[in-house]
Amino acid sequence: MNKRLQVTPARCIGCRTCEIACAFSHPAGGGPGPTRIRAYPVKPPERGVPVVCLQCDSAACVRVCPTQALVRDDRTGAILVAEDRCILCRACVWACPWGNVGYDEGRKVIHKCDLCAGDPQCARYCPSRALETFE
Amino acid sequence: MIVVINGRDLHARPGDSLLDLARRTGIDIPTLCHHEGLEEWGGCRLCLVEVGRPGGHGAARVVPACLFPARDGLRVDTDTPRIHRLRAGVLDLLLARCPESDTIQELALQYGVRRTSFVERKNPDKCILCNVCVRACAAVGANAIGTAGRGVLGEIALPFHDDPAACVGCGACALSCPTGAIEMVDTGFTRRIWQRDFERVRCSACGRPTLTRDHAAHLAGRTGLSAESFQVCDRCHREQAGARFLDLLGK
Repeated sequence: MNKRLQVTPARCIGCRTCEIACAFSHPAGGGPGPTRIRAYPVKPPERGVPVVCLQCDSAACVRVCPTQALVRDDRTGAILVAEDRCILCRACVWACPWGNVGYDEGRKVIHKCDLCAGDPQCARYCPSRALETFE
Repeated sequence: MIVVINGRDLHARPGDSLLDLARRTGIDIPTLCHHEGLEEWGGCRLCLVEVGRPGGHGAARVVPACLFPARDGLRVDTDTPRIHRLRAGVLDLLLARCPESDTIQELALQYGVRRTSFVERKNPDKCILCNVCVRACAAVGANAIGTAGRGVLGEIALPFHDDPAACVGCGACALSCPTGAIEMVDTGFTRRIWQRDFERVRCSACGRPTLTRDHAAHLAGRTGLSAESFQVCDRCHREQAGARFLDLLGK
């Protein structure tokens, strides 16, 4: 299964269900992990804007990584973190102009959107089709 | 390219080391200094394996698997009594160096070394001299630390033990250290590491501390990204991205 994730911010209602779906799809230490997507609610009326990794063609995170620990998955198109190659310099965290790479201080790992191996769960649970997937 | 490891015929890829091939095919070879993202160093001597001489003549050679390239027709043994004895010897020495290290204790026990036969080091630290920090620092491009001294006096140190000028305070050495031997203390806008205090950038949006000023300058110089892009923390970058999208939508 390999789907394309499409974001339509105009449809976002700021409910942040995507964040919960993401956190539960990426569990850490026996519980939900840090979310890789953010939806900023705007009021009134109930609106919002989701921000998630754009998987840039010429990505700043990939360019600054000194150990090639950020690698594009040819199948899904997602830029993935190869944890065994990472030396935790966190250059990617500071370099991403969209703030879409995070550092988990407790577990000492870099995290970013991995498109759920081709089936983004944020889109599956989005009630307003602000996040959609296409085959 | 076929390499025979422990009697099994294995397909090696060009550029494979014996360790790469063994790991990929589920053969366990212990290592301490190997790191997937860093250049091989061959320093811990735990990945020693036996390699047969061409034609099977003479005694097998002992080589570190991480540095030895896979070659067609090579015969390799990873767990002979000789290898077992050699690894036990290495661990015996490491146990004298780091008697309190869980990593070393567990590995030593696997090789039947319960207590070191040497004199335990007085005031031991946690460093196992795996050199990951040194290579991580080189990868970052700072080259601020290196190995110093020999034998029992070996250690990771600054040039002349006291010159942290090249350090940018990124903390990769401390965070990638497998035993937590390098101390890094963040207090507010100050990071102390390698005997030096670094000033951390105050995020221009939220005011929280982010990376060090030296690391920001280092990254801007190396990556071609603007210096301003390192004045905002990741959380604020994201929030600003959201605000920008909203603007575009006229929400």
